[in-house]
This record gives sequence, structure tokens and C-alpha cells, in this order.
Amino acid sequence: MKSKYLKNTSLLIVLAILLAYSIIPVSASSDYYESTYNGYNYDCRSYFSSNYISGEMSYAGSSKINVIQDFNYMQSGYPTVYKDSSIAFPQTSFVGIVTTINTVYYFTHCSYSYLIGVNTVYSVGLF
Amino acid sequence: MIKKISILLIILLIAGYLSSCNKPLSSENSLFNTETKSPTIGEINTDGLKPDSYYTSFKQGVTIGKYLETPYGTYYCSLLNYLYYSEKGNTKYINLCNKPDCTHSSKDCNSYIGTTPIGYYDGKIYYKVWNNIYCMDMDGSNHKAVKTLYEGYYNNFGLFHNGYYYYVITKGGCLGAIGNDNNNFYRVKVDDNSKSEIVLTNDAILKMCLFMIDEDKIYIIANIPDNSKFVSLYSYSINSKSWSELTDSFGGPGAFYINDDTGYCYINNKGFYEIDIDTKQMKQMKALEFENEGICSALYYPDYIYLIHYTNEPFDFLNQVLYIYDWDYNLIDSVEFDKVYGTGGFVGDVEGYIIFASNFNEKPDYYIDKSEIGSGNLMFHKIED
Repeated sequence: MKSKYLKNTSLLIVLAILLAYSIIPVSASSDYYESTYNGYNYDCRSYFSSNYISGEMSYAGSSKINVIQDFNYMQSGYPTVYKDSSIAFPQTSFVGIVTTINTVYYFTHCSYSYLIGVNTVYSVGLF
Repeated sequence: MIKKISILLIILLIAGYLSSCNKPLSSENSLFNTETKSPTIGEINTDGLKPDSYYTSFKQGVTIGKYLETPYGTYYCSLLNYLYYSEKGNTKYINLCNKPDCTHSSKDCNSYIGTTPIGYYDGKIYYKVWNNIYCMDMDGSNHKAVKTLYEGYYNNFGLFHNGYYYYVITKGGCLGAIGNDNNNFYRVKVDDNSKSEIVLTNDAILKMCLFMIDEDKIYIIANIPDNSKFVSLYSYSINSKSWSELTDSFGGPGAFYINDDTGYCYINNKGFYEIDIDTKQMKQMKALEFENEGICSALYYPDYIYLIHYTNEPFDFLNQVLYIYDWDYNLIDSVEFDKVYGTGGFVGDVEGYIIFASNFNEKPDYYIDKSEIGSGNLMFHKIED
């Protein structure tokens, strides 16, 4: 009897969690791209949600790599459009950049540019 | 007789030759030899010239620091980072690029200036890329680096005003970002070799959502946690170094303006308010409540106050109505703008026109002729290429 009660309670909790996720409007998208440059593999991972944007790049060659985020954001309750961009510190092998804003604001769009040396090897826009 | 005719012919030939020398350069020889050429780019137009401070001061918009009215014409930087130009007295915008055969669709285009506010000062356009200030001539040529704000890769948020770039450093990447911990407010002169100076240090900087400069005063609006209806308004006098909290019930970004010791704002579904900066007394000037609350921009320009009501819920830019008020808050006219796709709307007010873009990623493409305001026939006109 007790185990049946526990089972039903667990099911209810799982259902409540699933329902909560379906009700909260979470805007999220992602992108993955891989290719080669000068004979070495590279991959680019982009992620977008209303309060969190990230871009990561790996490259097997020895050149410096970098990620640029070019994004629009707004403040809840106001129509003003803010525009900004972030750039990572150039690295070899792996580079990543994350921008997280508090819940007063929300991202509406982000363009990601992935660079090897000074050359943009991949661009993508997410919203 | 033959001699006289010969002399006459020679005089006519010389006159014809000389007059041909006075013709303007052909398009092949001019600076702008693409289809975007304009013979007056970079030339000052003195018709109806306003005081210089009018052109160098920051102007309100739905986007921040992307539209300039100058004595040379107007300039608009799209959200895709391309700079456009419109001749004074005209509404048509062209890419500010003189590169032959350029398609104006990549970062190689001369009109691509990156994510930046733009500013006008002393015959130059200034813009910011990362932590560097650049300038260009008014015809879009001669881009050059002016100065580095600070070392490193940290971001900043700022705007150009009267020959200065005012800014805050946003370590986290933008306003409101997790990781912002610099509570200094900086400024730097754009046209000399001076370094940035800290104008003010205060924790309100960390909650700032926008600011305005009026004479020696910096007005900062800052978020109040868990309150999206109001923001706090602070003032700081650069000369007297005095800091003051004026009110915690002011209108937020895109809905406030300050001029001559009076603050103006619109508060959603409450109405227009004014605050006396000296006495901190705030009063409602006109009550206003929409059946469909939506959200509003309130843009204050010398001729009119523009209230733009975005009617869709949840919010988007697709359905918006422009209400035009005089400075006594009398409604003069209104018109619906239903041309938006994506993010678009009000761009600026310049002389006889109110400029709109159906998408802020592109150049402005609609205008209102201000002479039609109050005529009963107010409408948006398409800017044809």
C-alpha cells in the first residue's frame, strides 16, 4: 500500500515538473557546425536562450581562434532595443564566450562569428 | 566678312571649351562612382542651420544612438551595422560606401562600421568598436582610429554627446549582465589626445538601464528589482559633484527625456508626467489609459511628443500606433504603422519629416510629412529607391 502511494506521488512530481516546463515560455535554440581549415578540423557550437548566449570553438591547428557575439537585447516592459557585442580573448585549441543577463532583460537575437586568425570561417544567427 | 565670321567662330569655340571645363566631374571621376553616388555627401548645407549643440547632442530613438541629424545630412546605422546617409531635405537613404561594385552585404563594405552608437562632432562622424573610438569624414571616407578607451577585452555601453563619449564598462558583456562589477561612469573627449576620466562612482551604475546628459548634469535611470513599471531617476552634477535621487517612480528607457531642469516621462497606462529637478516634485500632466495596455515609447522632439503604442501581447513590433502630441499634451493626430516585419518602427524626426523603418536591420523606408499632421489625412509615405 505504502509503495503504491510512493509510486503515485513520484509520478505526480514528474508530471508537475513536465507541466512546469511546458508552461514557462523558454525560447532556446542551438547550432553545431564542423569543417576543416588548412587541413585541421574545427567545430563551432552556438547556443541561444532569452537570458543566456554562448559560443564555443575548437580547432586542431596552431592558429589563434576567436568568437564574436553580436546581439540585441531588450528590457521587460519597454520597447527600446539595445545592441551590443562581445569578443573573447583569442586562444589556440579552444575558445568560448558566454553572456548571461539578469531577468529584467532578455536577448532577442544573436549573430555568432567564428574566426581562425583574422578570417571568419563560420557565422550563424540564432533567436 | 570672312575674317569677322572666322573670329566669331573662334570666340564661340573658345566659349564652348571654357564652359565645358565648368561641368561637374563625370560619375567615373567622382568620389562616389557607384549607384549610390550623391554629389552633396560631405558638403555642408546651411539652409535652416540650427545651433551646433543641436546636432552634437544625443537624440532619442527606439534604437540607441543609431540616428544622427547633422548640418551635412542625416545618418542612420542599421542593426546589421551598415551606415546610411540621407541628403538634407530628402528622405531617401543610401549606403555610405564608395567601393566600386560593392554589394553592401559583407563586413568588407565601407559602410559596415560594426555594433556601435554613432555621434557627430565638428565635421566628423564618430563611432566605437569594442574599446576603440574611430572617426570618419562626413562623406564616409577616411576612417581612422582616434583612441583606445582602456586595455583589455571588456565591453562597454555608452553614447556620444557634445564631443564626448560617455560610458560604463560592462565586464559581463552588456547592461544587466552577470559579472558587471565596475561602478564607475567614464567620459572621454573624442577629438584630442586626452585619456578617459572617471566622472562618477556609485553603485546605481550597476543597475543603470540608460542615461542622458543635459549641460553639466548626468541623469541616470536605474532598474528597481521586481518592478518593471517604474525606474529610479538619479542626477549628478559634474561641476558641483552633487548626487541626488530624484524619484523612484520614473518612466524607463524609451519613455523619458530631460531638458532644462525638467524631466519628462510616460508611464504605461498612467500617462505623461513631469518632474521639477530642483524640487523633486513630480506631477501627472495628462492621464492616459489604453484599453489594450501594451507598452509605449515616448519620444520628445522640439516640435512634438511622439507616443508609440505597441498593441500586441505578448509584445512585438508588428502593430504600432503613432500618437502625436503638442508640448501641452494635446493630441494632434494619430496613425497606425502596420509595415513592420521583425523589429522596426520610429527612427527619427528631422526637419519636415518623421522617419520610420519597417525593419531596423535595413535602411529607413517610410516617412510622415509633418505638414500633414492635423490635416485629417495623415499617412505613411513609402520612400522609393
